[in-house]
Formats: sequence, structure tokens, C-alpha cells
Amino acid sequence: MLELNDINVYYGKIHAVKNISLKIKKGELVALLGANGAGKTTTLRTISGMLRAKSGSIIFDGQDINKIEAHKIVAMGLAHCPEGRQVFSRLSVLENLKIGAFLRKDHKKIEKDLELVYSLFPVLAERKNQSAGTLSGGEQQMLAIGRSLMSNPSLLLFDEPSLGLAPIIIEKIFEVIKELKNEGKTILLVEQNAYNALAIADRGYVLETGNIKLSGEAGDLLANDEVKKAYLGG
Amino acid sequence: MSGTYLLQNLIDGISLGSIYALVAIGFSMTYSILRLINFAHGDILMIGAYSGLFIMVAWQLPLWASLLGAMIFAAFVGMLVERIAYRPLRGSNEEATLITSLAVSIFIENLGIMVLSPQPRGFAIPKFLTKLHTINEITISNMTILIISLAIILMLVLTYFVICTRMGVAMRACSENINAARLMGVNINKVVACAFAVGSGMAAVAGIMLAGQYGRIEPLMGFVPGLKAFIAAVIGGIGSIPGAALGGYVLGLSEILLVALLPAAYSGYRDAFVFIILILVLLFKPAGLLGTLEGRKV
Amino acid sequence: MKKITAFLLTLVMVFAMAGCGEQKDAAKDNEAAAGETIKVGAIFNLTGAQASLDGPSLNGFKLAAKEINAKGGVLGKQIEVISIDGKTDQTSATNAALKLAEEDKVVAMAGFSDSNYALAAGPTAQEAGIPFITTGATLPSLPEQVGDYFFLAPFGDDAQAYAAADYAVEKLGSKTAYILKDTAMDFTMNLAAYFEERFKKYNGEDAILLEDTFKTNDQDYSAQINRLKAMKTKPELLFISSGPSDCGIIVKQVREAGIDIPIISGDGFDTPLLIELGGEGANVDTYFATHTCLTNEKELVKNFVTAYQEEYSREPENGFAALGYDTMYLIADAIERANSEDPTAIRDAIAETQGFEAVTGTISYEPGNRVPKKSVSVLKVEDGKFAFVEEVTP
Repeated sequence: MLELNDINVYYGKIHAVKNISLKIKKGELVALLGANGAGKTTTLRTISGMLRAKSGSIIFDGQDINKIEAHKIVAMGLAHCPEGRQVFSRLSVLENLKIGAFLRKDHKKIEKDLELVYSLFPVLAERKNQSAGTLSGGEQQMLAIGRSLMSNPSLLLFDEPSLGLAPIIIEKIFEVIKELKNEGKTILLVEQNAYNALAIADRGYVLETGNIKLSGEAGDLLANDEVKKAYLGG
Repeated sequence: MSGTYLLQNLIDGISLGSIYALVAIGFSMTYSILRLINFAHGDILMIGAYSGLFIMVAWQLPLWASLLGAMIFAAFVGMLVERIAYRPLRGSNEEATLITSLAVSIFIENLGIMVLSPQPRGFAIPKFLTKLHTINEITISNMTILIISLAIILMLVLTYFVICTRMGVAMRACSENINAARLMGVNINKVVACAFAVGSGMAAVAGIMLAGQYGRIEPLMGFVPGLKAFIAAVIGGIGSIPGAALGGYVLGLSEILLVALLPAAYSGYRDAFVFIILILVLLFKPAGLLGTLEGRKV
Repeated sequence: MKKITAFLLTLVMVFAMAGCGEQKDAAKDNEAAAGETIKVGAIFNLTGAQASLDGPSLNGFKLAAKEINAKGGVLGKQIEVISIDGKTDQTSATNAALKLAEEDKVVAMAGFSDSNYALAAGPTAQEAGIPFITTGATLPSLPEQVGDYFFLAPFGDDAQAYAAADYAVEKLGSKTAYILKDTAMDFTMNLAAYFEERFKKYNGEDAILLEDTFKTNDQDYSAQINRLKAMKTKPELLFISSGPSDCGIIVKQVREAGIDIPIISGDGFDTPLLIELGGEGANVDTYFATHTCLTNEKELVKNFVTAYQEEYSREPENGFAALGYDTMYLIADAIERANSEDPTAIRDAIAETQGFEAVTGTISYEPGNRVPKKSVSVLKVEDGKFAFVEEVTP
């Protein structure tokens, strides 16, 4: 479904992503792990068209999307839930969700998806007319996830959804991600919280300073000594 | 000083403020999305005024058609300017876009001087607009009534547009976080073009109102209102649309009232007052009256 | 790279357009090579607030040069007018004078209808030792301020302000007046001061009921007008000391506010803009004192009007056209009498001018005085046209 072949990305002169290749099959949940500054977010931003890879190709549903504008990639069924939530704090919760469905014209289906998001996160339904800035951090993360679901994507990119949240909220967030996978969504999950991520993922990649260091089945990675030492606190 | 004197000046101040507000809104809209200080905005006002005059004189169409036509034409020019001059600089620093906008402004003004002659011309409005109403020694012309009410109507329409329409919501989203908006599938180019079109259209109306009220039109007529609108936008809190409108009224009213209430010898210093007000506002509210100081996420 | 190119391209376009300001006119003979013509510099504000006065003035200036050249020129040579736009900007005015003196090596310069710009360009000419005749700036102290190479072609502000005051008192019977003056121009400040002085002499110290101010191109005068309307004792006359770009709008706004008191002013009102922008309002009791009236029956005036019409397919816009025309003839006359192309000889010849018959009256410079004594015409707006009222020598 998504295939990165030897992509290189630069921030000005900084070579942030070096020759990364990865592959996600339909219905898979793949975790992308690594420390701060390893290039995880850069990789995601490149996939969603916010950045351009200098070389290499990004194949999504059989099409190279490296040169395609961000909004068109969204239209192709790829949703990117960005790091740090980035909800529109001056817009209401409902407006935030509706802008998630910005490109869709199927109003009846949008209403249905809205109900779906409300059923995943009932608190959003309660606060739909509140401005998003008044929500707590956890609620904002739920809103960010809900918002990315509103485009009815086939592939979801999550960037650090657990960042800065209380453990009980983190648990809830990972539960929802797992549920989304079970419903058939394909997911690329970027996390520092490697244990939780690998617990729900099928496979995983480990990034280090812009390179892929390790890759494999989630279970194998969890058992890997190096991963344990570096990311699992063991 | 009597009550009627004060009331008369209030009316005149609101009328002038309405024009500033219309220009300032467009200024603030493009700033809020692109962080672009568009000094060419005042020149769009000039283009609007000239196209309005052209429609009235050459095609002999009524005022409402001239307003509508000028709005459409100015919107088109605004989008064209954005496409040619500002889009290639998207993502570069604010200084580069600022200097570019100055260049665009000089370009349009000189083009106007070449094509339209530097001479001011009269701008005749339909007879019924010059009719005066005198109530209790207060005189108000139909033109003044038109300016005040048209500004209110346009602001209501704009409010509806920004709050209720899909494009309006996208515009607000972009002004808050343009990258997150892109991730939602919002086509930034469309939103920016739309903001330029709406802002330019409102500037065109302001241009016709200005030309109609003072009966004069010239290629450099946009410079001062453009500058004043920028100041109004800063007073109100740059980037905030209600702030721009408020700033416009504050500026118009204080210009007139300060001249009216201070001794006659100071009347020539109204532009200095404008800057004093600006400094005072920024001293007590650095973000402007309705603005919020915010860090911007990248 | 793309961005930089786009940016540079914009800049280049802007400067290309801004650079279009300068024009050279070989007045008649295009093949006239350097040295074979007598070069005369003309600096006028062809753009900006002064354009409606200076544009016609340059037209008159060029027309005179063309006529002189057609009759064989001066000293057997053709006159070449080198014109530069002063852009209603003092720096541009100074630069223009510098260019004319250093690069073009003109024998004399002329230009400007406002003292601020004449003051900017004059000292440069003075330093270079080239005579400068201002076609329309009327500040009487200008020659003293600049130096012995500086002359006025028109009368001074005192003359026109006195004429306006005389007319108001004697013919309109005004006992009290209100003054509105532009504080951004020396011309308007002086004009108001001279008017005030004369008007008080007739009607006593309290005759000026209120003196209000504004700044060039303020555009909105409603607050001043409201104050005028709120005055307990209404004045019998409004003296509006403004430049050409404001006069029409002020008259319009005053009349629209329902004030019908007679308005009088100086030559700042002698512009088509008074009628074009003043509209119906200007037709109501609006008078001004200026250099000449183009409907005057004098032979010289009629010939000038006809020649101007033939050259530019329209009537001369105002008295400044005539002033430009006169100034060129004045320069040519001085060159002829000096029998030399030397700027200093020409200066001396100008200073000795006596009884020079011109469209705007007879020009004589008294010894040591470089402001001519001339008659003043009082004009009135009637049915959207300037009409002659009287000619006086105050």
C-alpha cells in the first residue's frame, strides 16, 4: 500500500533522512521507532507532502506521490495526524472535525463518520461547540485523531500520539488505534513509547540519525536486546 | 462646544472610520494567513476606484453595478498580484515579502501614472447621493449614509462567510496553523487567492466610497489610506478581522475628534495624532486591542 | 534561486518604470548636435500634488521655445529645452538641478510653481553660477534666500494676498473673515499671513474670527468645517490658503456642508482642479487672485491662447501655462541682450530687464530686487469656467 524507496530528505543543509526504504502492506499496523531527532517526523512529513524528498520514490496505492501537493495526497486517502496535536484552538470542536472532512462532498457519509468519532471519543460530542483551545491535552489528542479520521482515509499516519499525556489517556489512545486497525485501516505509527507501540503493531522499524537501524516483526523487536536497551528501558 | 457639534463630528468620524475599516480588514486577512504585510493593498483600492469610475462613465451603468464590477475586477487584480508577486516567495522570510509588496505598490502606482495620467480627476457620484439631510443643525449626506451602511452590510456578509462557509472555516484554520490546514486537505493556494479576492473586493468598495465622498481620484490615492489601514489593523490587533474593523473605526473617529476638539492651530497635525494613538495602544496592549500574542507553530 | 530571480525581476520592472521620468526635447531640430544649441533646463513637478500647475507651465515653456526656434532661435542657435520631472519631491528637485548644471551644462534654468521646490533647486543653480527663474513660485523672500542668480517671473505672495484682501473689502464688503491654511507649505502659510496683515489693516485686529489649519492632501476636512459651522458669529468671508491639489475638495466639502459664504484665495486656486473637483460648489461665490486671465482681450494674451490651443488642442489650463511661456521669452530676451551664452552675462541681462511685455503683465526688475512688480488679476468661477473680474496693481 505504501512503499518508500531510498528517500533522502534535507532541511536546508542538514541531511535529515538518509536512504530510508520501508513498506506497509494493506491492513498492517507498522511502528516507526527512534529517539528524538532520528528523522521519524521528517519521514512522516515527507510522506504527506509537507516536505519533498530530494531523491527516491514514495509509492502510495501504486502512484509516486513525492511531487504531489499535500491536499491532493489527502484526497487520495492518506491522513496525517501531526505531532503535538495541532488542533485549531480558535475553532470549535465540531469545526475542527468538519475541516477534517474538508475535501469530501458525501454529506450523509460525513455525518456517519462524525457519529463514529463521537462513539470513539464521547467527550468530543459533549464539547462539540466549545473552542478546541479549551480542551485538555488528552481531549485535544482525541480531537486530532478524530479529525484525521474525518477524511475517511485508508492510510493513517500518527505522529507521537502519546506525547505528554497521562498514562490512563495513553492507554485509551492506543486502544483506539488498535480498534482502527481491526476495522481494516492501514496505520503507520511513530512513537517514542516503543513498548506500547510494538505491543499493538505487526511490524516495526527503528530509526537512528536518519538511517534505518533495525526492522522486523513487532514481537522480534520487542525481544531484541538492542531495542530493549535503547528504547524499552531494559 | 455643543452636543450637536460633537454628534456631527462623531458621524463624520464613523464615516471615515468605515472606509479605513474596509481597507484594514483586507490587510489583516492576508496578514493572518501569510504573515504578509501587503503594502500594495492601498493600490488595489485605487484600482477599484478607477474601475468603478470607468464602469459609471464609459458604460453609463448605475452605482450598484459599478460597485459590483469594481469589486470583481479588483478581486481579480488582487489574485493576479498574489499569483505573480507573492506566491513565488511563499515560505521565504517576512522581510522579503514586505519588500516585494513595496515593489508591487511602486509598480502599480507608476503604472497608474503612465496609463491614467498623474492628474487628479473629479469623481462624480449620482445626484441623489449628494443630497443633504439637516436635522437639528446636523447635516448628513446620502453618501455618508451609504458609506456607513455599506460598510456594515459588507462586514456582516464577511462575518457570515468566515463563520459559516467551508472556505471561511478553512481560512480561519489557515490563519491559525497553515501546515495543519494543509494536512486536512485544504488547498492553501485556493485559500490565499480567496483571501486576496475578498480583501481586494472590499478595498475596491472603500476606493469608490473614498473617491465619491471627496470627489477626487488619482493614481496615488491609495497610498495614504493603505498606510492608515495598516495602522488601523495594528491598533486592532493585526491578523484579527474584528480587530481590523474596530481599529478602522477607532482611527477614523480619533482623527476627526482630535481635530475637532483640539485648538484649530493643531488641525494640521492629524497624521501625527494617528501615530500617537498607535504608540499609546501598543504601549498598553502590545498585541493591539483584539489581538493575541502567539507563537506560531511550524 | 527562483525566488531571487522573481524578486530581482520585480525590482527591475519598478526601476525601469520609475526611470521613465526624464525626457529630452530638442525643441525643433532633432539633429541639433551638442554645442550647436543653447540648452535651457526646465524642472517642473509633472507628477504629484503640484502636477496640475507645473504641467501646463512646462507646456507654455516649450511652446515659447518652439516659437522662438521657428523664428530663428537666439544668437543664431536653436534653443534646446531639457526637462526633468521634479516629482513634487524636494530631493528630486535638487538632483534635477544638479544634473542640469553638471551634465547638461545648461545656460539657464526655470521651473516650479511652489516655493518649497524652488528653494530645493535654486541653491544648486546658484552654486553653479547658473541663473534660475522660477515660473510660478511666489514667496517674495526667495531671491534673498537663494542668492543673486535667482529670479521670480511672477509677482510675490504679498501682491496677490493684498489684491485678494483689497477685493474682498472693497468689492465684497467683507468685515470679518475666517482663514483655513495649509501648514505644510511655505506658500500657503505666507499667503495667509499677508492676507491677515492687509485684512486687519482695513477692519481692525479682531477681523479674523478664526484661523484653522490642515495639511496638504488631508482629503477630509469635515472636522474643520464642523468647527466653522459651529461658530457663534459667522464670518463674512472665507480665505482658503491652499495649494492646487486641495482647493477643489475643500470648496466642495464647504459647499456641501451648506456654507454659502464667499470664498477667496490666491493663485493656488488657479487650476482646472478647482472646477473639476469643486463641482457645483465652486460656482458659488468663489474668487481668487492670480497672474493673468486668459479671457483677457489683450493682444499678447489672445495670441498666446491661440498658439497654445493649436499646439496642445486645448485651452491653456491656467495662468501657470502663461507664466511658463513668459519665462522662456524672458530668458531668450536676456540671452539676446547679453549677446552671450555665458550664464553670468545672462544673469546680468535678466537683472536689467525693464518693461518686458509678457502675457502675465509687464516685467521689470528694480535694481537689487529680483521680484518683479506686476499687476494681479482677480478671477471668479462662473458656470464651471474662470471669468475675469478685475486687474489691479496693489
